[in-house]
Amino acid sequence: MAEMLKRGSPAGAGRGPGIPEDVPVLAVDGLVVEHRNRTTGEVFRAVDGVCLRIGAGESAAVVGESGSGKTTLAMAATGLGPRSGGEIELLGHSLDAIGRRRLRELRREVQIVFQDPHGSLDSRQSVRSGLRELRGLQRERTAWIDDAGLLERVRLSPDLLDRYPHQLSGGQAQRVCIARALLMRPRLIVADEPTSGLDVSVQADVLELLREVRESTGAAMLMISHDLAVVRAVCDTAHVMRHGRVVESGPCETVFTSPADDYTRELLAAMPGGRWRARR
Amino acid sequence: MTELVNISGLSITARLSHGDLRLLEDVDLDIGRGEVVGVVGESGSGKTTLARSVVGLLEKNVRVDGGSISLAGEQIIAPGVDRTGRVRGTAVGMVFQDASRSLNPLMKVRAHLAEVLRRHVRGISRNDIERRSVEVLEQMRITDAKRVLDSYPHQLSGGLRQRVAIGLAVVTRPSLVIADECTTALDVTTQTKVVELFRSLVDELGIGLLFVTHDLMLASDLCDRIAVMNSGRVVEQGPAMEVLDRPRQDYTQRLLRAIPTWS
Repeated sequence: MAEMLKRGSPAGAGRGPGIPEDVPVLAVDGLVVEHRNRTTGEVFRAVDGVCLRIGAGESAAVVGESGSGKTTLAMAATGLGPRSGGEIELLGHSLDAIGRRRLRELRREVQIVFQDPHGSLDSRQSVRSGLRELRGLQRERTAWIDDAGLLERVRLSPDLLDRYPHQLSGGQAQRVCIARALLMRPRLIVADEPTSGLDVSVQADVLELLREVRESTGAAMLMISHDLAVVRAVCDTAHVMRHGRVVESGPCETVFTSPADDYTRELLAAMPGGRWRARR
Repeated sequence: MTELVNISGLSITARLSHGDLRLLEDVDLDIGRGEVVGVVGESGSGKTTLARSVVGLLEKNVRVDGGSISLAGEQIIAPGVDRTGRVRGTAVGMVFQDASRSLNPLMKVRAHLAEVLRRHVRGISRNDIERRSVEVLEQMRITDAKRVLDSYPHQLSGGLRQRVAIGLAVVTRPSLVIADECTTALDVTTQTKVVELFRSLVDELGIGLLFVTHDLMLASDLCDRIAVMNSGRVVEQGPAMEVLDRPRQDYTQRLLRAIPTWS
């Protein structure tokens, strides 16, 4: 491990925390992720030549059904999952050109919010002690706000600081997860189905919060979702995935009002509520 | 439309260590033959309790303390009365959210169907079991019924598994089917197909369907009537389009507003 730490790239090592605003937060070119079945030796291409670009402060969505490769794409694109081919630049740095140490620093600029908040939080830690642990990892970076202020940012009462995850509702727990991501002042927030497990009224509040977070922090967002309505509520651009490929990309308005691809049309037609919408 | 299910003034209470908790409060709901009634609500609203009470699948600490449920004119649930054992699985079929958990992972689809048929159709022959199994899978719009019969649940896709689960619920030719969040775990395109399947089953077989979901939009696609539940009460019910066009209750209006819009 010490050996790996020493091999930090000199080019990256000299740079401070300030990364120029004009480089894309994430640029993915020809990304391929393959899984090999250990018994049969068969190779399955989960992500098949995907290109993707997210500018500073931009909010992009990857939509598709289960198994389309959207989560695999997001994990590989942020350097958190395996990659079989293709180029990834995170904040202007090619993941192939920088060392592990610099990669670790870069990863701090990326925070992830998962679908199941209770699965992401340590059930033995109160909200406060979980935040203390995060602060211990990154003292300077997290000094910008105190715990109570942070919870206020996600519209939670500071009274919840002493609660354990099982004492929080799904919506509250997801807000805590968003707060933990915010604490690191990320340049990119990856949200993987952040509202799929929530009731609609709670979902509406969390979506509102995500929009607000984007505006107030200027962080870019990569949202993964199977729900087109959710995507349209939060994101600027949409990438529609099927069988590991992006079949259509563009501004949400265009993709959802005049889809060019048959599969996008199929997805749109399958959205619940068609019978009622058709009457209006 | 002839009446199939009549739920009248149903109140149900759970006994917990720290006191009693009202799960259902004075619920009135009717389902006709050939009618789909949607029960819509958020977590904890009582929609699952309502669905399970019709088939007597309530926890031991839960009791009915008012009202009644009748099926085809016969009272099956009332305080101190539970005659659901006679209708569960025969006159009433059930489909739950997670088909992979309703199916036995060690049994092929053929064995699932055979077990249900043997239990509910007295003296059924082997040939008839096979014939009815194939028949019901074809009714589920499964094109390669033979292959599916020879498959274990894990060898089937989620959508196919849910079709098998629906097949198991209707193979005994019930008059009522209860579906509790049975499309929640499915992709939208698969969900649409299952919803279309339900609609055609209801129209062809004239069964009544109680469709429980958290998704008001989904309910509006399938259901003839919708009942909106909140805190154990039915706060509003009526023809599906009417409930959405002119929601009368604050709660329904809030629920509608919470759905991300297209504009």
